Amino acid sequence: MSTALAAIAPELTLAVMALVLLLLAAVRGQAAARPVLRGGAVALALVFAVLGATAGAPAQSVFGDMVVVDVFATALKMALVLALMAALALSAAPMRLDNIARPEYPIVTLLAGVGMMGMVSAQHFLALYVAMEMQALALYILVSSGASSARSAEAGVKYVLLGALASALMLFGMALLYGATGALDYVTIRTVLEGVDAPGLTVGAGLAFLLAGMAFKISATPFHMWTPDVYAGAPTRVTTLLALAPKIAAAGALARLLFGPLEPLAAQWVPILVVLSVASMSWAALAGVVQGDLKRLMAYSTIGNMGYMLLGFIAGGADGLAAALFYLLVYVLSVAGVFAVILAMRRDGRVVTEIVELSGLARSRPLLAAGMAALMLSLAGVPPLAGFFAKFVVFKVLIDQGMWLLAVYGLLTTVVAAYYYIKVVKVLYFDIPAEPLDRAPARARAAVLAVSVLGVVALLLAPGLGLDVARVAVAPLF
Amino acid sequence: MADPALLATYLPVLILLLIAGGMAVWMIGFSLVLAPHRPDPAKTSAYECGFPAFEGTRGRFDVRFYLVTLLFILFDLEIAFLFPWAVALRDIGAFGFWSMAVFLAVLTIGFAYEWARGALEWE
Amino acid sequence: MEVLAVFLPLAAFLAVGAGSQRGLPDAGAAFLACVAVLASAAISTWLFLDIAIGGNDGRIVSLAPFIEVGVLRVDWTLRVDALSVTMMAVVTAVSAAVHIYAIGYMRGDPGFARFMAYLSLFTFAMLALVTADNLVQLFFGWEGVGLASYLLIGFYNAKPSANAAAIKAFVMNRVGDLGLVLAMCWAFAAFGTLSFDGIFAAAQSVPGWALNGMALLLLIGAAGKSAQLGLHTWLPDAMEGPTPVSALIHAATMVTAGVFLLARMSPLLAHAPEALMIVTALGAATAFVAATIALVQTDIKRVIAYSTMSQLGYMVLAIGVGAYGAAVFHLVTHAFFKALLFLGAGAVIHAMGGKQDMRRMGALRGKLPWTYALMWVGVLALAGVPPLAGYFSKDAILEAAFAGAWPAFAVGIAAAVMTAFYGARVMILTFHGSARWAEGAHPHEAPPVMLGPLWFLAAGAVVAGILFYDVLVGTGPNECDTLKGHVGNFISTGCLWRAERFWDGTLAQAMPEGAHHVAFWVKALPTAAALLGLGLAVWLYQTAGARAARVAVAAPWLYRLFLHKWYFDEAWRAAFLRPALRLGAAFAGPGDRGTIDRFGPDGAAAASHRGALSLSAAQSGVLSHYALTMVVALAALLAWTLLGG
Repeated sequence: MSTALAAIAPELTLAVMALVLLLLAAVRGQAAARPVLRGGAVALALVFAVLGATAGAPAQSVFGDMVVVDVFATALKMALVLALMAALALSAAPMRLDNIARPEYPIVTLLAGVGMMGMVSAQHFLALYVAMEMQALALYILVSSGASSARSAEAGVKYVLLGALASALMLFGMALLYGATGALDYVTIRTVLEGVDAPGLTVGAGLAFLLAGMAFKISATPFHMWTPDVYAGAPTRVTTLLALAPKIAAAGALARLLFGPLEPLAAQWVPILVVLSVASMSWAALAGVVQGDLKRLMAYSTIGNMGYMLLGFIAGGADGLAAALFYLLVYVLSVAGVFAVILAMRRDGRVVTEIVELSGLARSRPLLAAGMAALMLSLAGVPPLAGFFAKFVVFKVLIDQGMWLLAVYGLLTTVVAAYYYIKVVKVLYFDIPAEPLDRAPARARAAVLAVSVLGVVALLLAPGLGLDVARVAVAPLF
Repeated sequence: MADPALLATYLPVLILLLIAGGMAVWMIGFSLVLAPHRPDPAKTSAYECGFPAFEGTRGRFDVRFYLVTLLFILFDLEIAFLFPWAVALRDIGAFGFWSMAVFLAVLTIGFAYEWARGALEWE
Repeated sequence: MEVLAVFLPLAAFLAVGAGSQRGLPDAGAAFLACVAVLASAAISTWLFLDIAIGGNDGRIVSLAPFIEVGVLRVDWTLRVDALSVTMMAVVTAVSAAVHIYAIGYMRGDPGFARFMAYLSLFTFAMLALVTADNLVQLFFGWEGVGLASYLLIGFYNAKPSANAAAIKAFVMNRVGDLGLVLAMCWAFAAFGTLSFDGIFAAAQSVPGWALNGMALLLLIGAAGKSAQLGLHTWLPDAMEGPTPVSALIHAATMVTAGVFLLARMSPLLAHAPEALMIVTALGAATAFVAATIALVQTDIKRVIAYSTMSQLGYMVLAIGVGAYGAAVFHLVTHAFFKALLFLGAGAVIHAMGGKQDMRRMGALRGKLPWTYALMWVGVLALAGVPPLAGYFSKDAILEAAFAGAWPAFAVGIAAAVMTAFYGARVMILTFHGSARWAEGAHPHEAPPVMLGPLWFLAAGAVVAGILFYDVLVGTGPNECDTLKGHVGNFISTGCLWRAERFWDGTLAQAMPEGAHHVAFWVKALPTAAALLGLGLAVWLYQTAGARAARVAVAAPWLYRLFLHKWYFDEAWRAAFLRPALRLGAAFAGPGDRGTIDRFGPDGAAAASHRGALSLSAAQSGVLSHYALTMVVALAALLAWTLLGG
């Protein structure tokens, strides 16, 4: 028992800290907002330290093989914690400026974090489902937490209902697979499926339902419809969180599913992923072109980037998954910086998110503009920035697998998608300057932006390093 | 791939379904045949938590009503959870006991929070 | 230590560059940049002495892995050997002098801090270039100095001519860079490595024609940076930059990068005799043509710029005849006296309120006595008058040329006459004769902060030759164990030093075999040529200017040819620019806009825009549509997996 508890120490720490902070919020009320935010940051730092200390430990399965703790889980959890930290750090300034600082925000974020960390460790359908619902419920609350904003409420309702639909699909998929294999834990399911020559109708249907639910979680077309509306409607600090952490968790869970119990069904799921990936890349590239709102644009950017990440899954094998993971981490790194910039966009005390509001920012805020430009160029895949290397490795593993047609198609969509990233750069540097944005000092935001931009630029110095880390991380799955 | 032995363990479920279905048919059928039959609008309309079943969706209602209901459901479900636990406590031993203790503690913290934040005050 | 030497200037660049955006005072910027470069210079000098006199071996310091793709493996390393410490010492010494000089010269300029930052960036890039252990890192520094040069030439970026000159320099260099890149690709294909040691070790396993091809590509690269004939037109225009830049970049250091590249690759070049003949011819032609142009220019900085080009020609010539040590030796001495001349010219320009036309000067001797005296030192050193620095290095080159290729020797002597002539001409027109100043000119001596560096460089111009002759090109039988206590042939009387000991294999050879057996008249001829040139200049200009004008009238076509710089700019325009523009116009008009744009980007953009709008319409915002989409998609997925699979 104690080994099991030790294995999930990071999750436990986070959950207990969330409860302690909740009590603090109960006692002190609104005044607890700042201490709770600080406490949340401390909790995350603590969890990061715990994860770092146990990173080298051998893999172990606990709670009757429901939960597995290996290098893959630990690496993704570390990434998750960093993403949560960035989201929390970025939330401080806007909540203070809008006078809406509430202790609940960090607490719910931490609870979402517990769910996400559970997702990447789950090795059992029930554990996966519970963890997934945990993060989803927390995110529903956050999305609709915009202070008396009708858009936020609308986004919340959409997210809840569509999320519930996706959950239902997934649950049904799990049920079908359970019916077919008689097991809920990954290891047994894999053993059973490996023993079957041709998977029957039940298995096929279960796979389709399960993948539909997962596609919703990672915003893959055609299950992405919620993304632009929720991104745009949710308060920007929540959109930041949505764009960063849940993608890591969902991708981790998906990797565990596809390269674990569903590995024997690769012949079935590869074509499905191809469809999802191609649809995501094309849809995002095309629909992003006419967006005027930065948050919506970032929603399409997410959709497209998840499409590219799926290419790594499609290529398969340790190399393919490592490429996908590397891609995901570069994406998260860049997007954190982009949202740091979006959160800096306020004029006369009002939040603005239209791209045109950035006009001529290079004149009034050269550093901010340069950072944003670097991130946009990286997202567009311009060498020698990180985004280029990420796309490069993904396309490379595809070509190594002989799927060059898919790689060429991906390349074409990046060309189209580059249009809207580079349009932002154009607006920053060549448009007639708009009124300067408000200058609000925010050290945390500057730090997130700096880390993001430096990371994106400095990867040039050691492009192999990130990929090597990803290779080590995915090793336990193979 | 479905194991016949595995399916056999579901026999009680099948029996339960048959009994439940039979019971429903039996009750509705007998009341149709035997009971006096004097319908009026209130009696024939569907029962829907105290609201008229069909009306404009834009109607106003007091949101506090929902808040209390939601909070009630949480604790209601907790009870539903406690019953099977109590029945099985003898078998699951100390581990089961402490698991539920932790669960209740978490729930209590939530309860303390909603109380302190004033979610239970009507005014 | 070597890490500090290379990276201190980078740190200064970052600090000053960041500070210039947030109101770092000029004094602070000057202090940071100067301290960094002085420290770097001190360390570099120490390293040089350690290897030259201490007799220690060179070493390679590995910093971090850089690129690992397949068999290509490139590391960030610092190569500290005889050649690179020599370059480091020269670069940092001149750079330090220029940094300090710039404090006075750029005083009060609104972009002062930016200027200092760029100077430091340049110094870093040059150090990265000379300490490279492989072609990729060398290329990094190569492009770095190109960038810094671009920024500094266009420093007065409100001036259209400065921008044009900056772009010209960048583009001309690009042509050379292409040569270097192709050489790198070829080298990688042939050797499977880009590290110098790897290439040199395998040099003989590759057929001669390939080595010749690589050597020629390297020559193209060197010609771009070192302004050899054909790719030289950017150098005179680069004088648009502030004068300290001209001194640092366009005289002493950056333009020597090409010569350095050839010297560094000398173990490879040594196996490519046919290519070396072309190197010799190009060097000689550059030395000669540039000197003729310098004869007739009237802009003081342009004369010195063409002089630089001519001297670079000498260095390339030396490479061509296998006198690699002599090339580096001339590089070292030239750095001192040319920086001296440029900074002196800067003091004159400063005194004349920014005017550079020598026809508007004259009789400044009395007003700028120190500058006058120091510049004479520079001119005499440039002309090759013994015992100043230029005498030793030019002599070594010409002796090697005589032994290797006598036509090159003849051209070199002719250029030497002209060198002395235009040097003296500059001095006479600027400092002697009658005052022809523009209205309102009040010439005044430069402040001490500008004179100090001049003193330092003048000292170098006097003693660099004596001091380093033996170390760099000494041809003795090598009787001494170390150089310690025997610095220079003139001072030591005991043993004789052989330069190969110092170079320790970093150069293919210091001097060709026949160079130290030449007849006395060969050794004496360069000095005679220098004196002849000086005398001619005095005769033509000192006594009533009419004589010089008569010469110009006597051979008008020659005068025009020189004045118009042999029509290189015009020829390039006619040969490349105009056809390229016409071709471009043809492609751009009917080709690009009419065909490709219409059906390509514009068509695709319009189509994707239409597509985007229709997709956006699908994003209706209505919840039930979204749910329906999901369900339909799932149904399709199901149908496909179940029926298709």
